[in-house]
Amino acid sequence: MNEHDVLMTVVVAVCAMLLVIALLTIALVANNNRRMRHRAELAEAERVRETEVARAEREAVQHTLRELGRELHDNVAQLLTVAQLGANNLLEERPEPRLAAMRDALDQGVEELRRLAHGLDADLWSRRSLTDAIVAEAERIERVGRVRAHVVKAGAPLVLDADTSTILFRVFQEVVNNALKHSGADTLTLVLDGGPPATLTISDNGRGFDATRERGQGGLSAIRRRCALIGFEASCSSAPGNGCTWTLIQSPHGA
Amino acid sequence: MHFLAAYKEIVLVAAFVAWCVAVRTKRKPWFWWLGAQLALALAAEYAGRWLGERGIPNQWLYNGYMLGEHIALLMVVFYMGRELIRALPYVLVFALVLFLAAFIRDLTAAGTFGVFASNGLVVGGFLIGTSAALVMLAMAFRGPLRVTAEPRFWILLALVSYFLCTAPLFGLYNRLSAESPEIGLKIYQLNDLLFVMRYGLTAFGLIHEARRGGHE
Repeated sequence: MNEHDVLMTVVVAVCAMLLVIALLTIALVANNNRRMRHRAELAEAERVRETEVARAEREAVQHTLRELGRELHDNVAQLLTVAQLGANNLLEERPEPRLAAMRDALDQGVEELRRLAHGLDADLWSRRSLTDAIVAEAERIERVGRVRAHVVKAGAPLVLDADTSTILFRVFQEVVNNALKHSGADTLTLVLDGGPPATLTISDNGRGFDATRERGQGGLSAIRRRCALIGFEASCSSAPGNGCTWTLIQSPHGA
Repeated sequence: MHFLAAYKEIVLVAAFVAWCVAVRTKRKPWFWWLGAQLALALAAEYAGRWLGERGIPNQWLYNGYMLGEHIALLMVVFYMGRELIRALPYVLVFALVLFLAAFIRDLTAAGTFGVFASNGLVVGGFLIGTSAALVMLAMAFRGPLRVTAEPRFWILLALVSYFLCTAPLFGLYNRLSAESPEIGLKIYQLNDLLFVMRYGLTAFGLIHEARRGGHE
């Protein structure tokens, strides 16, 4: 072979190798892009499925609560009303203090039962706003007489859809019930801010707790999970002797 | 083709500068081995030219560099692909043994360290290129990310395209016309072209790595 032939052979061999590498790389990148697209589609499908499952779970819970509320209202409350009427009749015949106390307890029980049944009705949110519900709840807490509940409306009015309002109201009830049961507080402050971002702050002046301990974290994570379903973020700040403040804030990305 | 000699240095320095820029945050082990290889390449390039210009034989320097470069690059490939290919350490040890065998055979056949070990380069280069191609394939088929978004992909592509081409380049040259200086010169110009491509891709990968901040 002469010099020119040798050189041409080498050049052709190197170019052929480069061409093979280029073609293989293009095929590899194309295949990888297809695989990544497929993975992204699967992830999106999974996300949609999870959203659907969460929605179905929410609807099932709402349905159960609505049925429970209807049963309480239509059956148990009616039976108690009959008992209430009987007690009233008895009291007219025999005006005894013990009977009067029993009638008062029955009156209170019927009132609480109706309120509870009313609260369990998810359709309620098509007729009233979350602000109205929280104000009504604060009035109920004050009526009981042990704790003062201040409602502060800051910024724009809270406007949320029925699903979000229902879950946020349940979270609110859980936080308030915890405060009433465990904190020993005598004042609750509820701040409603329509935002954006929509924010609900619940503070008490109770004994507080160490928010870094497991008990606090467990409660926080359960509330966080429920808030995440509706695109809210929940945080709790507390320290022994300093009360407790829960902040439920709408996340910028939504649910 | 003489202009390539100037570009060679520019892309090599560019790759090293890109490495220095990327080094600011915490890095994976492959990054340090690649840095060692780039530093060796820079040192060998300038020292080799300095010796050559003074008529001092420099083959021993390039042989020494080849040894260091192959070990560093096998480590780069190992750290880039160890999570993707379980048998990779065995493949790389096999590649190192074969390379050392070819390298030592070259030197013992010549009886001196002053002859360029081109068979070692062909065998070692082919094995580095093949190992890098294996890791590239594993990255594309098993990796969690789009490969073009991975700095490692571009660095592996640089190794594959350079070293798999050195096999036909120096392999055919050795077989066909090892004694012709004219062909030797032209072959080295072709090698310069591959060199520019290799370090260009390496610099691109390292710039990508610098922008990503070292996350795998």
